[in-house]
Amino acid sequence: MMPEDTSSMLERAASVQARIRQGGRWYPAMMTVYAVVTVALVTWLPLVRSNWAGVAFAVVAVAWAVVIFAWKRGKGVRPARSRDTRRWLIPWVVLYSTGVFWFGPTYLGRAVGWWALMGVVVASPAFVEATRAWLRVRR
Amino acid sequence: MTHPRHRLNSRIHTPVRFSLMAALAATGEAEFKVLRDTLEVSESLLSQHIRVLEDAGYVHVRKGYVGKRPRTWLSLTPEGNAAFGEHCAALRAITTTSVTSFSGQAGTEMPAAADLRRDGA
Repeated sequence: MMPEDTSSMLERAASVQARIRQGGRWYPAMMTVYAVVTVALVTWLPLVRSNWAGVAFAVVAVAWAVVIFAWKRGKGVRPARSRDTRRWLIPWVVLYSTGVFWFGPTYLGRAVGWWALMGVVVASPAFVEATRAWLRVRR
Repeated sequence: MTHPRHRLNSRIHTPVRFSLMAALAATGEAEFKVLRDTLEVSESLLSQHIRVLEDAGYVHVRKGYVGKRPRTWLSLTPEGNAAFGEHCAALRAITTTSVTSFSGQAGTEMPAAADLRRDGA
């Protein structure tokens, strides 16, 4: 095999990779938005002081999950496989459950600022995944 | 057998299969129709090549649905990722070998091959 044929194959393959990576750029953007929404939802929690506010919170949280799930299903390039999602989702669930159901009510009272900070901690697995994904698709 | 061509993987070393492996190495998984459009091949030809790579254990095929529409998702297995990396290394070794080694004529070094990335999970 002549080196120039090999170079052509490598260049064509690099071009294919660039197109595929471009098709996957939605994923880090989605993960960034997911992390920001996590911070917003956790920050909102101490402000939920009535049943109606609680219902509104639950509706918004569920609607958000449905929208994001439906939107990503139609994407043809997925930088993360389903099993890769567990890498950030499990820590997120653990942090969210621990923070929202125990740490926040026990130690933070209704201090919105501290709940916002805890929201950043809860969202950190999603931020890390977004950063990792940006590094993969940036070329 | 010291020439790098002996390290080429015959199951990967066709233009369509090599490009298919390259595409899958660049992401977690990709849908069949996206690969068909990116590689600019027919569905039947793409299916044939996928079958070869699946039989070799290099590609994982997953069937799913988006609404009521069936979808086929492909991804590289760990063995496929490793095989692709080794194949690329052999190709790079070939392209960086001086032309004078093959033809005996005075010539210039070939430019370094495109740096293909393996985006392992």
